Amino acid sequence: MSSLVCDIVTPAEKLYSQEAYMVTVPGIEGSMGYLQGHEPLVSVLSDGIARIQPSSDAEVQRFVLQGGYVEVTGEKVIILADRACPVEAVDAEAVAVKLAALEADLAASSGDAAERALLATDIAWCKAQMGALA
Amino acid sequence: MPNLKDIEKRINSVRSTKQITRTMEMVAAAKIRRANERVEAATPYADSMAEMLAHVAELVKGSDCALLQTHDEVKCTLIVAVVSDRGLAGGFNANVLRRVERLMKEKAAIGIQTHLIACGKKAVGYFNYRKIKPVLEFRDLSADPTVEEAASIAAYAIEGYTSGAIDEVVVVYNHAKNAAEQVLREERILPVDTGVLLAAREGTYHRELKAERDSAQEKARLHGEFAFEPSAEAVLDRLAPAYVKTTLYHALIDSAAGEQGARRNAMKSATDNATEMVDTLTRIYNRVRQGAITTEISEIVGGAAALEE
Repeated sequence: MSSLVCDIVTPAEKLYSQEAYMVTVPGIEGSMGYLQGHEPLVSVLSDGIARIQPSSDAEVQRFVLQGGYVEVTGEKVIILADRACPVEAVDAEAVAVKLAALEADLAASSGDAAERALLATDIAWCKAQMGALA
Repeated sequence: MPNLKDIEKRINSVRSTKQITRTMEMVAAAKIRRANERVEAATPYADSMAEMLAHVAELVKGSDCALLQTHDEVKCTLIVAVVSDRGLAGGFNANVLRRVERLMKEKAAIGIQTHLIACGKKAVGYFNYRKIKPVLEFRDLSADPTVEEAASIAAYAIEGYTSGAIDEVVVVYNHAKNAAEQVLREERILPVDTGVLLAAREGTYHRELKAERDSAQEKARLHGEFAFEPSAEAVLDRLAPAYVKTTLYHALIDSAAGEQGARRNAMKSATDNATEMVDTLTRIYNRVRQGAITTEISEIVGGAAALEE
């Protein structure tokens, strides 16, 4: 059966690299699914979940992504994300605690735009993880 | 003639120093592996990012993305000095710092203003002593650089560059060529030079990978190039800052790996020197002891001979 090779890469590690039958990603203008032989495409991704189906009858694997890009050639899908992790690895309680702490930090932090921006990204990441579980 | 006791003391002191340097050598050796793993883990991302950017930039020639445009006149340069938090790593820190200082002097000579970002305590200390105030300082991160650190450097650089306050960004760091060797690198990260990107892509690609890629690209051409979503310009606008960030992060972790390598080398030669010194001192010690015994014997013999007469 024809298939694609799908890579999920973050600055910290190469998270996933395997053959896949279908890959669905959260494009900035809406969800997109790729099969083998897809038109070459580069897109910005929004925060959300990528779904990878290793073969047409296999179970779907899900990954939470933040701030990414995708490049598709006919045989290969490369997902570059600032952060990513498998949905099964998300610990709902830990994330909820972290989110609360971050929001408190953001409320308490004064002025410094760079610091606030960093906090906001962390919060967005927590929310993306929560969203994946919901 | 040196006193026996003094020599013994010195031998002991050198021996305990040797123990310390030997331990540091082993610690550094263990850390090298971890640091190298991190570099290896980050490389695919950096490569794919560079490749993607090269693709996009090639297609969107003459774009007005601020980060790709060279400023007509360079009036202000931002220098990012990447060194470590700790010393005892041979010339690791000094090489970078001296190069940065020379660079600043050169720029000053042709009337270019310079700003400095110091990563690592050693850089902060060095420039504070010379009354140069870095615009941003990072401490306690050199052994474990974070993406966030790179992000805040990148944010500062990008903001300065787009607003026109900074016309050029240069990063100076040690590249870990292998576990034993570090090479000083000076890279211009802004403006982003897509020509270099393309050339690097051609140069570094593995043969088979390239062949595979070429066939894919050939197909892409047949299909009428890449499609972009939302648009090529928008993708480029997002990709260029991310690329700057990635390059910086890569420089930071590369330097972290280099630091451990440099420290191991420095500590290895320190241990070797200590071993040699203990040998020499032991030899002197034995000679002195032998001398003392000989003197004693000749004194006794002399005394006995005097009694006989």
